[in-house]
This record gives sequence, C-alpha cells and structure tokens, in this order.
Amino acid sequence: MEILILLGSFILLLIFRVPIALTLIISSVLTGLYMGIDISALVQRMVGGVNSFSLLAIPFFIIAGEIMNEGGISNRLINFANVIIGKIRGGLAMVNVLASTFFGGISGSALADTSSLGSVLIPMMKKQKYDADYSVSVTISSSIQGVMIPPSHNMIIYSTAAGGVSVGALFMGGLGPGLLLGLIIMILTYAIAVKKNYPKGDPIKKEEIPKILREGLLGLFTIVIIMGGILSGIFTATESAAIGTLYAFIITFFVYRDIPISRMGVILHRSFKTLAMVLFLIAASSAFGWLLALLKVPAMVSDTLINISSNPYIIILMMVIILLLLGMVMDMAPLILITTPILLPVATSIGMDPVHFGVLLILCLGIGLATPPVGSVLFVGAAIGKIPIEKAAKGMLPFYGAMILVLLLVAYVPQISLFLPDLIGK
Amino acid sequence: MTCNFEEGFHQTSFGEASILYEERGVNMNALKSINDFLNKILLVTALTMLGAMVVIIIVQVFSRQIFNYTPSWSEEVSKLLFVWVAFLGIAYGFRERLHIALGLVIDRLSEKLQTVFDVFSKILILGLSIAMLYYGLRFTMLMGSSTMPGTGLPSSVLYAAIPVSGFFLFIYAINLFFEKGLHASLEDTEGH
Repeated sequence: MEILILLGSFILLLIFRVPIALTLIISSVLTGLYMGIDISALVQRMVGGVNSFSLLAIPFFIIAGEIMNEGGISNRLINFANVIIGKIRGGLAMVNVLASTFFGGISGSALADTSSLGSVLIPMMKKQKYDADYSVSVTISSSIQGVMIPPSHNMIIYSTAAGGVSVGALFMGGLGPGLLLGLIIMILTYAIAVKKNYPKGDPIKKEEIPKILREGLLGLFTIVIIMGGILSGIFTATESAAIGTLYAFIITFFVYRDIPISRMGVILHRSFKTLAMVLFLIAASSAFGWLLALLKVPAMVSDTLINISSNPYIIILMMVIILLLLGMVMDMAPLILITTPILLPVATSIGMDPVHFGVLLILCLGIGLATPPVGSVLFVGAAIGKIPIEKAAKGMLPFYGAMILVLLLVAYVPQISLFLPDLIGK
Repeated sequence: MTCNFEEGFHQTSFGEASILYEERGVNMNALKSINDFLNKILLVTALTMLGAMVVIIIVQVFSRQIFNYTPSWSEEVSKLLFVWVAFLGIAYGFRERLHIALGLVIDRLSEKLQTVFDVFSKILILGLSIAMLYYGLRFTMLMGSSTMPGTGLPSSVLYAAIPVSGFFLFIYAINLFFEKGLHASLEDTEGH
C-alpha cells in the first residue's frame, strides 16, 4: 500500500505536468503521512542530500564550463578540430564530432555542447550544402560523448547516489566508452559523408595554425588539471573542480581575453540557474530514495528481475531496456538518483562492478537525451537546425544504431569501462 | 505564416496577463515590485554565496599545499553555503520556470485544460512554500541548541535556509497565480 501511494502519486503527478522535483517531494510527503513518519525527517533528508562535500564539485564543474563557454571556447575547439581533421571528406561534419569530444572534456553537458557547437556548426554545414537533418544528427549524436568524457557532473551525482563510488574511477571509467562512442560516430559520419559526397573542409591559413593549436591545447589543459589532480591524489574531486575553475578563469580572462571580467556576474547567474534545477532534484530525490529503500523496493525489483531470468546477460539486457525506456521520457539527473539505489544492488548481485554499472547507466540515460518523445538535446538540435523534430529523429536513425552498438559493447565488455580505472589502480 | 501565428499567440498571452493584473485591482503593481525587489536580494545573496564557495575551496587547496594547513572551517562553511544556494535555487527556479516537468500528456491537451493543470501545480507550489516555512522554522528552532563541529555555529544557521527559501517561494508562488502558464518554452531554454 505504501509503495502504491509513493509510486502511484509520483506517476500521476508526473503525468499532470507537475515539476519533477516537486512531484518527488509530494509523493514522499503523502507516503510519509500515511506511514506516520515525521515530516521533519523528510526535511532532514532533503538537506542531507545536498549537504555533501563531494557534491560541491558539481557547481565548480558547471561554473568552469560556463566560463569557458562564455569566453569563446567553442570556436577555439572547432578551429582546433579543424586543423586536425578538417581536410578530409565531410570535413566540417568530422570537425563537429571531434570538437564535441574536446568539448566533453570541458563541460559535461550534452545540451551545452549541442547548443554552443551546434549554433556555430549547423549553419556552416548547411551553407556548405550538407543536408540539414544530417547536420543536426551529427551534432546531437556526437554531443552525447560529453556525459561520458570527464569531467562529468552526472558521474558525481551517480557517485553520491551509489553511496560513494570513487569519482576518479568513474571519470576514468567513462573516458574509454566516451571515446569509443566518438570513434564509432565519426566512422559513421565519414561513411555517410563519402556516400553523399559532402565537401572537404576549407583550407586553413598556415600562419594561423600555431595560434589555433596553442589556444586549443590551453583550453583542453583544464581536463588535464582536473584529472591529474584527482588521479594523483593531490586533490579531492571537489578541490580539483575548484582548481579547474580557477584555471578556466585565468585562461579566459587573462589569456583569451575575448570577454571582460565583468561578465563573471552573468556567468555565475547562468551557473546558478543550472544549479537551481539540478540541486532541487537531488534534494527531492534524497527524500524519495530514502523512502524507496525503507519500503524495500530495490529488493523487490531485484527479486522480480532475477525471477524472470537468472542469466546475468539477460538481466543486464533487461536493465538496459528499462533505463533506455525511462531515459526516453525523463531527464538524466532525476533518473540517476531514482534508479541507482534500485538497480545497483541488482547489478552487483550478478557481479557487475559499480563503476561499470555507473558508466552503463549514464550511457543509457545519455542516449535518452537524444531520443523522442522527450529528449532535450534532440529538441534543441532540431530547433537550431530549424527542422521539425520528426525529421531530426529520422536523420538520427543510423546514429541511434551506432549508439546502440556502443551501448551493447559497453554492457557486455566490462573491460571497455574498467581497463582505465584498473590501469591507474583505483 | 507560422510567424504571424506565433506573433498573434504571444500578443494574446501578454494581453491576457495584463487584463489579469487589472482585474485583481489596485495592488498588483505593488506585489510585482515587491516581488522584483525580493528577487534582486535573493539573486545577489545566492551569487555571492556561489562565488564565495569557489574562493573558499581554492584558498583551502593552496593553504594545504603551501602552508600544510587546512582551516577547520573551510569545508563546513562551503557546504553550508552550498545548502543555501541549493535552497534559494528552489524558490528562484520556480520564479524563472527552471524546474523541469514531463509534458508528454498535458502538452497535447487544449490550452484551457493546460491552464487547469498549471493552476493545480501552482497550488502545490504554494503548499510547498507554506510547508517549507512551517517545518523549516520548526526544524531551525529545534536545531538551535546543537552546533556544527568546524565553526561552532549553531546548526540552525544551516537549516534556516529552508524557511528563508520558503518565504521567497511563498511570494513567488502568489505571483505565479497572476501569470500565464508555468513552464518555459523551448525557445527560452535554448541558450543554456
């Protein structure tokens, strides 16, 4: 009965278009009232949910990403990618994919990737006679790398939801699959470009190359600082994120110098907006997740799954399908917080490493960002390309295929996620 | 043609909003300016806290690496600021329509029905604000006697974020009833 109240009111309110975080709170309160739990206990859970030092890394990564973005990192990464790969067939499309790989190392947001790289590259591609749906699809699908390639604030959310899986291991765990996704999408992008005979990229002036390389590498050095700090053990993840923010600040305002320092107000404001959304979800999910655990929902789900099949491959497949379906209709952060406490015990009971499961979870939900009926990245990409969502989704079809291929590889070949964390001994 | 339709649509929505304001009588402008003033306070507070958080952690790292000294208060204060930013963000997010919802079903209904569901959500938001004020205050007072280990500040400084955010949210929620809709359209969110 308690479970029915909790999940029933949650689903009903979701359908009623009540904001998701509010939905989580109200269904928790209703269940709490029914069970005779003091509301103060739920309030305390909400505060406890955000009163965590490791979550502090999230605002820093978001601020660092916003600083770099405002300071014109997208154009620099595009130029940088162009020097490396622009000369081949479908040059601009290839640049799009590679620039997204780099962008993923600065910002963990696929949405930020699509909106900032896309608003530069999609119009350029259309001008060079690339099909609009192809331009949009390349932009959208390549941006999904961003949620996997470190630093990724979604990994930090998972780390917290999973009860403190090492952020360093998760970051390294996401890197392999993220790069693999980029590689497969790049191959597909190239194959289509050859078939459709899309143009090669414009040649770059020789004398500009050193400046482009220097500025691109300086930007990408952010990820070296962050990862170096975490992996060497000099900094905690949160401290690395803060130092990364300091570095982004110095590079943007004292080296690139495209924008005045007074823009920091706008940057903080924009970061606050993103944080307001994410942190409310985290706080609300803490209360909800606590009740889920109290009502032993995770054990029930895992019993059900194991009853259907005891074959670990089938169980992984079922989890992937559940996550893909949920990811198609809901956003990433709330799903990480709700599904982790339920599915992680299932995963570990069949011998999955928590890092491997985390990477798989984030990839499933990341793909969901690019799929209809609800996919924020798909919507924004289609809006920038000025094409209907249906047309964008149709153009995405081969790319969905590529993503599913990577997803299956990541699901069934744990080494892809685990060899880098193992290498550094985390 | 699409363009014309959209322009017309926006005009009506603005028109209706202003009619709503007029109908409710004289004090609407007062409410709106109180709302804007409070919002400025909230925003300045939150952004200052956010900036301070970054500075504190950076100082902590340097202090530890260079002077081999970690201040006992730095982690605790930055966590405290973080909780405040998070809770102020709850109120702010409702005002700025940042909190995401699932529009899968309701988006397909007629505009009139959509308004009904939006009003339902707004009532829930108002309820949340009252609950945050009531339980937040109760909790804050309850925690007045316990202190935080690093700084020695009373724990109520931490929990006061709830009723304070509840207060802002209460004002915003009332204001929401005089505005059309509840959710940002895709065009508004594109830049982020």
